[in-house]
Amino acid sequence: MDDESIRLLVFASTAFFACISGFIIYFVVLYRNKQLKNKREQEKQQTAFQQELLKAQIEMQEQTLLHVSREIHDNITQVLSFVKLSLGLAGNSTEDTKQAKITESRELVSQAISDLRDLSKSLSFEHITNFGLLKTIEIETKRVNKSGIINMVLTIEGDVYPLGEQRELVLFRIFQEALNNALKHASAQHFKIGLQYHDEMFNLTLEDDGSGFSANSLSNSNGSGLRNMENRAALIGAAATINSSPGKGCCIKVTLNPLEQLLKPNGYHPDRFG
Amino acid sequence: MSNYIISYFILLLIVSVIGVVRYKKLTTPFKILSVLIILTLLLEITSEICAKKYKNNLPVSHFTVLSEYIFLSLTYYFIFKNKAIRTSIKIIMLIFIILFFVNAIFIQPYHSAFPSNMYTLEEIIYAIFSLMLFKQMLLYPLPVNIIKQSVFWFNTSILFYSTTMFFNFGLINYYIKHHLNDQVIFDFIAGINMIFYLLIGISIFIDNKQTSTNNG
Repeated sequence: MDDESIRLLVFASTAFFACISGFIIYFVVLYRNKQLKNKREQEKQQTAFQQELLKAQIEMQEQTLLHVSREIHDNITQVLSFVKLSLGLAGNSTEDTKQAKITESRELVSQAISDLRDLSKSLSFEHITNFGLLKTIEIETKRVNKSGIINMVLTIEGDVYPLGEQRELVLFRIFQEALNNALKHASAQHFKIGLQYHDEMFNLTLEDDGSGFSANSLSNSNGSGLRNMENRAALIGAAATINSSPGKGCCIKVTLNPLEQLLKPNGYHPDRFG
Repeated sequence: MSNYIISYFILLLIVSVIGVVRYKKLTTPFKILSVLIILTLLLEITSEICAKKYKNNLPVSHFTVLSEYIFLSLTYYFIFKNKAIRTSIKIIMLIFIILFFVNAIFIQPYHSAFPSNMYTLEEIIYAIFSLMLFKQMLLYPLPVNIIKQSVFWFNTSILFYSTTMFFNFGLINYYIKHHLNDQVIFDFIAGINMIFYLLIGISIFIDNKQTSTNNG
């Protein structure tokens, strides 16, 4: 082999390998930077998600406590006052009347105990963890129907499967918000809840026959609760659609793919490589 | 047999053994790659035998270029998740196969000419696939050290090999034109081949179905 051939090869190959190695090193550095950037973004989104979740939990607790205090004031206190009055009057009555009043008071006290038990069940948001979304909505439906404020109908389609604690918590909060709106703002008489469990799709439909609202009201401050629902649904990878018009009630539909990652930013992109 | 040929066969054998031993643990693209390495080893042995016995191993070279292209394209097909890219790979594969037969029958007959046209085309396509994969990797990075990603090693080896082959074609032309000793280039190509299979070996060695985040 002559020297010139070798010299040329060494020179050309060194230059070539320097280019290729430079490219690979540059790629590795770029990749590392991208990884760090993604990690930071993910952490930021995780924090936002946790904050939003905490906010939802606090709101649920507030709502529950408000309901408990109202229930104690309007129902249990009234029943117990009546029992107290009834037992106070029994002292001067005949034996038969006394017996009747005691029986009536016992029944009223049993009712108060039952009401208190129901209340204790709804005191904590943890019952979502224990009972799941469906059971919690069932309990809530039963409780509200018992109060007679509104007529609630619950329909379930498909085989029930768990959606994950955080998702169920957010969905229950959306349900609470919709119910609250139907009672407070829409003066609705009927409230329909639909839970559809399909293989790759879960739907939560909340429908009331209240006063409704125009699409414009979603953009003003009164619509912040509804916008909250949309934002929260997006947080768990769901889509919320709100349909309403004045005098025609409101229909909220939350659609979720149960197979998708809980938190989109945490999940990998479908075009990813390993 | 030269020292290079012996070391080359030993290297191919080691990579093939790694592929066989780890076959069940590998992801689909790397299973295909392992089959390709075993096939390459068998074809290289056949080529040596044909060269010694019949003084003509050109038909084997033609078959090698076709099988290599199909297997490497399939590897890329399973690595890429993007539907448009996958469709392109399928279409390009079909065109390549048609061109291969046209070339082997009419342009560079399989029994009398080396399929340099197909090798050149193949290297161009590999370089494009490799750059596209690097781009996609940058677009969707994984939270895993890049050194531990089998796809990175595989793609680096392909980029390295395909671009070096172009470099070699250029050098050979220059050497022939200036009447220099071109044996040095062939030794250089032999070295590149060894590095290529070594990198492929690393990628097969670190690829793991259970821990890999590649959904291939």
